[in-house]
Amino acid sequence: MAEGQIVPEIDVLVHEPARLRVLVLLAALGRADFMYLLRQSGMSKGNLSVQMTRLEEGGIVSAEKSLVDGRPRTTFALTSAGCKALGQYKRAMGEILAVLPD
Amino acid sequence: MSEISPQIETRLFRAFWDDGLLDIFCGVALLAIGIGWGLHQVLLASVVPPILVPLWGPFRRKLVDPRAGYVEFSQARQERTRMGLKVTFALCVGAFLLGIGMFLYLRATNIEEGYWVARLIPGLPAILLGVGALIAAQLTGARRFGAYAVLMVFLGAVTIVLQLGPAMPMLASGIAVTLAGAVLMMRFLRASAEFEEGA
Repeated sequence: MAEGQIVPEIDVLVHEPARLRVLVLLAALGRADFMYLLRQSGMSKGNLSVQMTRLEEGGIVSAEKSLVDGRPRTTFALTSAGCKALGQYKRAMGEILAVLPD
Repeated sequence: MSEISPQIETRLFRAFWDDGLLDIFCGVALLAIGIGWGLHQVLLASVVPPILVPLWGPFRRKLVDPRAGYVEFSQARQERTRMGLKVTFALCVGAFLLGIGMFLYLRATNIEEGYWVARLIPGLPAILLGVGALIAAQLTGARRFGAYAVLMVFLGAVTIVLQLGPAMPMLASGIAVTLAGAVLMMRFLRASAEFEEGA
């Protein structure tokens, strides 16, 4: 949080609903491939691809490429920076939600 | 994350088993044991289940992962699953050995037919496997394994009461579990095809 800023800052890279959905999945799991995230998130291939690229560029998730039975497989996992960002996001949102009326 | 992840992770882990492949493998193993015991082919009963255990992974990779996607659960979850599988496997081996032991014991001692131990023994393997199914239900979160457990215990009890051979509960539960697995697998394949078309 910037000095003098009372309302916590929200990380937009994490906060965007489609990305947040994927991040929640990855936080709950250890590692998952594109197809698994596609099935569980309910997003379109194009949208998921764009969001994963953004998250990877932002250092929130890491991609690991491997060959399984001769087929390429790319799996994604949260990075330590990603875990930290989600922790900060949770704290910030907690503060914000606490002051909102029921 | 600790507040939401366990619930979501549990639901994801439960969904992991919804393709029916595990049910088909368990059902085929039960059928093999039942047929083996029914035909007095102990070798068949003893060979098929251990063969199926290492085959589940390749089948999952070939049939399910390309459609459902690949996932690795947390280390803690993997350790819990491994431990549960070991216990379930031990119960399966126990049930099988109990069947063999029963066969040899009855043959060697030539005890009276009305003797209570002799009456109980044929139903015990199914009851023991029912306990295994209950552990599998707890382990996977798939409630249908609880239903399989109830069915196996019931069939074990019927075997004891009606004085049937140990093959009957294995065959009956094997058919039921295989059919349930086949239905789930067909549903999974259909849903996957629809998803592929829509994606």
